[in-house]
Amino acid sequence: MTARLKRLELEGFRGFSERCVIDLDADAVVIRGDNGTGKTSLVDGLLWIFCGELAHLVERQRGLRRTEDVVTNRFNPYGATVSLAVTGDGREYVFTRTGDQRKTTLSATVDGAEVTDDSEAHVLLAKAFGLRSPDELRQAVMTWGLLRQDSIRSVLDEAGGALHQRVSGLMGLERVSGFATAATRAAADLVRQRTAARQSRDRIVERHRNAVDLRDEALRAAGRPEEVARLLVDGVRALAGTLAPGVLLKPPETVELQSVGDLGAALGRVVGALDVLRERHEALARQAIEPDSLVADAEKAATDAAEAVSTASNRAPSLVLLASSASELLGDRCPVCEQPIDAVSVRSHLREVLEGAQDLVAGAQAAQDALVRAQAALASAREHLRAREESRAGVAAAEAAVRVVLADEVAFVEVEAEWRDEPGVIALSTLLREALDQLRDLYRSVQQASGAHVARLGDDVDALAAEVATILETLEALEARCERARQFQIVAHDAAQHVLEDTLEVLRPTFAEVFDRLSPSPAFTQLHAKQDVLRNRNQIVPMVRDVERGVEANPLLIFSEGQLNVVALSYFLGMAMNAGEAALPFLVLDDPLQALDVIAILGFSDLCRHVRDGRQLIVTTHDRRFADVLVRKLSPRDALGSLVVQDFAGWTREGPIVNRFEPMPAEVIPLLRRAAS
Amino acid sequence: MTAVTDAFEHCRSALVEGGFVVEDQVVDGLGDVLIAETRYALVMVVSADSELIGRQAEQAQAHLTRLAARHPSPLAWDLYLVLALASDHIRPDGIVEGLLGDTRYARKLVVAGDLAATERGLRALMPLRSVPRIELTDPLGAVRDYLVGAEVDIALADAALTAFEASGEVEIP
Repeated sequence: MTARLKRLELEGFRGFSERCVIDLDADAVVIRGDNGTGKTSLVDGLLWIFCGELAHLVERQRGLRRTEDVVTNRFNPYGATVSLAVTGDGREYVFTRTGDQRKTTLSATVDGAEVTDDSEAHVLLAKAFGLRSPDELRQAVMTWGLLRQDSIRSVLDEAGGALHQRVSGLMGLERVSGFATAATRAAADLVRQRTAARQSRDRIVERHRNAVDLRDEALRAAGRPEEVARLLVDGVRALAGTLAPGVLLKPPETVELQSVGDLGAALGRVVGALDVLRERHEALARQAIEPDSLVADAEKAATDAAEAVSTASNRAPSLVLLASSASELLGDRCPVCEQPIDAVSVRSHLREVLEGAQDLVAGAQAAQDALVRAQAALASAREHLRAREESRAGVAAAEAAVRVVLADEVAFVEVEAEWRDEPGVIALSTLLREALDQLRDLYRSVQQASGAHVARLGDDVDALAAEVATILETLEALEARCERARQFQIVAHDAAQHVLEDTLEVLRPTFAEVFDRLSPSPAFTQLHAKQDVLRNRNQIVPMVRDVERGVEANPLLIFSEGQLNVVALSYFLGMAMNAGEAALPFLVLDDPLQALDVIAILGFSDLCRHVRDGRQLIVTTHDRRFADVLVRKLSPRDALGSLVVQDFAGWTREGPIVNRFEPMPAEVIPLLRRAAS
Repeated sequence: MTAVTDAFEHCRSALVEGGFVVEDQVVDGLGDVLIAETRYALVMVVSADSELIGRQAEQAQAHLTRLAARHPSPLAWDLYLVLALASDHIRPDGIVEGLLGDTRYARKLVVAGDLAATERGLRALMPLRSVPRIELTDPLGAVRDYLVGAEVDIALADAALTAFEASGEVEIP
């Protein structure tokens, strides 16, 4: 893959308000400028094109109200546009991302042909850089393609966890770590299951133990008949003594469980008969109105209705006569006396006739309705009369039944108290029901001491024993799985470490290749990295070694900030140089030299010269001193090399003020050859 | 004048290996020196004595800058003076530290010891070494190989790997 970044255009993005075109078409690009002139916005522009987000800025928003968009420019907040022109494999690509923090769209042109579908454009972007998917491209850019100034030290974050994550990103090793982690999860899950099963076993064993104790206690009680007899006799006597005068409960002659049962059954029958009688009394009480008065009321209503009908019948003929008389007076003169007819008088008569007829009709209707109601009331009263007679008969039958039951059960209970009226029935019924309940309690307590209870307890014990056996079997299987999982987890982690160690073995010389050139420490001159697993968490711990004394140390604990930056750069560049198929054809370093001394700056500049032989190098710096050294070191020495310097001279609300210049190749005739000539 | 040290000869080998054109010269007061150059750097190697290293460095730097001035070119931007000690190790002291930190006119490197140590000391001048590439195409296959090699039941290993590939989780039967 020979792709090269050619040009970056930014508008409405971060520090770029108006459209700005940055030429990147060179082996090496040095972007220099003071703080706040837009260098990092340019790097963010590249990041946005490749990843579609600025995750590090979104992270800064955490915990804040999101009132600002991290992508768009404050003076041109109408959406950002960033375009990246790329050449590769003889094709010209232009990728354009538009949008803001919430939503972005990527489009592309390939040799002038447009690709407007966002997904297709992302795939095309990955392929343009030799990668299989947008995710791979994102991983490559974030891990070893683009080093932001605020993330240099992040290579060393999380006590080796970040370094492990980055190394694992190489060649799909994260799946290896993921497998080991999943094995740990599986083992932990089985341990949880085993713990739950053990708790369940403990509960069941405890229940079984309690059941055995209960059964044994019952067995001991059941084995003493005299104890059972004593309980029965004492209980029934005590119960008999508590009953009201007039009711005699007779204890059984034989002190047996069955006798108490018979007594209870007898009492139950008496109470049942009394309950029926009580219900019949209540039904009779609900029919309290005397049916005779109902009949009288109905008959009176019928009489009234008949009178009303009679009145209507009497008035009807006179009205007919009056109407006839009036109709005869309809001529000009009276047919009798030949006197002139008074029309007003005739009309008055006729109106009276009409009103009388209307009253008659209404009266007749009312009388008819009253008659119907009276007939219905009469029927209801007769029905009520019949029901009341039936209730009375029911009460009598229930009383007879109670007498029969009392006679039948006289061997068990004798009632001398008055119970014929309803209050008496209620009192007796309540008294005997309470006695029955107490007898049942006594029966239960005695029964518990009997063999039947022992047998039931034995069944409980057997059932719980079966449960114990089942849970023990389950637990045994779980113990075996746990042990297998524990051993498998160990071997899985060993495997992951082994595979990762093979990769580290390859990477270590590359780390050292960078570190040796920057010489951050006079004693600890070798950099390497070793694996560790702490609390099931894989780490790659950075290590430096004093070769002369054979002493090792973790640079995180002994190095200064500047020295640590060198360590972080060494790991980052080491991975970039050894990313294999996932390597990118470019390397972007955003202000990489922070807090470094002159020696490290010179060493890093020399290193950049070698790095750019293998890939396009883009370096930004705020340090004029470093920029000058870098420009000097990276200036081409023949026509084949190229360097572009973008000088960010200042910043206005429209965006950065950028001056571009391109050092001409400074051809070198080797000194030795000139000396020889 | 210091006799030619082993480190001096190691420098010659390393620089030739690193693509430098190398020439022996004899300089008054310094004796045998090595001039090496590429299109990017001009290097002078001198044998040095720990006791005299400060004065030797001054003399050598003077010669190197005069040499670069006689033939102006961008090489003058990248002058390196390598002081090859006879001892096995470099003992950092004030003088050596001062030399290493003094980058005016020429950057100074102090080397000693065997070829490997000398090469490491010259690393800043050398092109990037070709490093072996990671050649792992099937990471989970490598895990399986290890598990089988560790006498894990093959059926168990395969079941775990299959479950992991399908769901991202491992199941232990």
